[in-house]
Amino acid sequence: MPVDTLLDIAMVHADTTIENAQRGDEKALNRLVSLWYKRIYNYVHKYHADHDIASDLAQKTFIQMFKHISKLKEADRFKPWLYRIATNLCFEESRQMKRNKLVSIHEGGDEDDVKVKMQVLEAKGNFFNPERNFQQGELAEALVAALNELSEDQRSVVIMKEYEGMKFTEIAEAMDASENTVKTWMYRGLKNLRVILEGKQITKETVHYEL
Amino acid sequence: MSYKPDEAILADYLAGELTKEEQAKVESYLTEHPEMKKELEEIQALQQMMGKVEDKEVVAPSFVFEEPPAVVITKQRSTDRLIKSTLAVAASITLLLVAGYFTQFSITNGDNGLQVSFSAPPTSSNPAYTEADIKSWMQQAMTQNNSDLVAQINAVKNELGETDLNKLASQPATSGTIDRELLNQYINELRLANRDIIQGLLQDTERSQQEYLTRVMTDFADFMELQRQKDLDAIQLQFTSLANGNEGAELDSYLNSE
Repeated sequence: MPVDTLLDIAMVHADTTIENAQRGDEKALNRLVSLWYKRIYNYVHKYHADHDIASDLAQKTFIQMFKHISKLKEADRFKPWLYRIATNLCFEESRQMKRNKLVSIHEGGDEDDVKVKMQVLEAKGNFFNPERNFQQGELAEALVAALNELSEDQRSVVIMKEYEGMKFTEIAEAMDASENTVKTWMYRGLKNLRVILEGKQITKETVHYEL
Repeated sequence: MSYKPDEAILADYLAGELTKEEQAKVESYLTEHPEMKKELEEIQALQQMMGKVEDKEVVAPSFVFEEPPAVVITKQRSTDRLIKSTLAVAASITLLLVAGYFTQFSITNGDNGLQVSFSAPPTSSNPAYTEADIKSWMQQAMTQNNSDLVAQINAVKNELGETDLNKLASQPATSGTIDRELLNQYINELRLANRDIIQGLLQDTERSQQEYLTRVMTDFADFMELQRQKDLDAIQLQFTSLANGNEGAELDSYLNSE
């Protein structure tokens, strides 16, 4: 885990807090929430590209954490364990969405949402216009929308690696898969993401960001 | 050359997690396969672009973690049950006492043995023996008993002899001192053992504290180093952008000639 901020240092050295939380110490539990909430929210947000879902699933993740933390065997496996809860909730949400989509033909469904978002962005003239510079916020929106077109496995692995700074061993634990499988998902995910973005004219030539 | 890096190796390459040996292998493969090299470079550009997306700031909700309400309810129920059963026992005892009072229930242990009755206790039924009689019987029994005891003691005394008795008399004193010495020794042992335990404990905690501190300091140093590196990179970038176009052109021609 890269240690870019003081918060990261606090997260890396939270073993005692985790052990206290395992004994049901409320203060320690609340401290874990304040340490990890932002990370889990951002992970789910990139996965589902929706603020409400991200808040909801982040809260559910911590409720699950509260219920099951006593079963966690080693405190230093807390991070992959927490991401596993979050990932399972993300998958569950996707399945729920698909079911809802089957029930209502006209509305709902993550793919439709992404399409609508892309159409809105296109209407704004963001795409197919090489002269246009992407602003920070718009680039983020477009990238997250493109991430949503990846398969679930590839999507979670790419987000965990690129944004959550996790090691392949940790991701393998969170995904309940072998390290090699995770690496394959990672490579394919990035490859597919590049193709998707290229299709939307988002490449290093069209995007000018401040270095 | 038959070597072809698989997708897992390429993922490691993109993550910069290959060993030097593997890295060299992949790089030599890439120089031979420019189309693959181009693809990887494009993916690296994508990674760089992805790195520009910043986290969304959110405020963590303040959870109130409480014991599951179900547990609390069961606890209440169990105390209720306890109170109820205690009350039931108390009530039945009271009922028995009240009933006993009204039926004049009584138990007496008289000369004729145990008597249980539901009316006023019977008056003494055997006035044939007087108090004086009983007293004289008791006296007889006691004197006989005493004389028997004295005879027995004398017999034992003869058996043991004077010297043994003296020995017995001095015995408690010595055994007492031994006990005291043993006790002191035991206490000392305990004290030493306790001291060792506490010393060990202190050393252990000191060591873990030190390890913990070292870990924090190392990470903090890493963090500072990273910051410094970033600053240096930024300065370097400024310099590079300041350099004039001629140098860039020169560099281009140099790279092309390579």
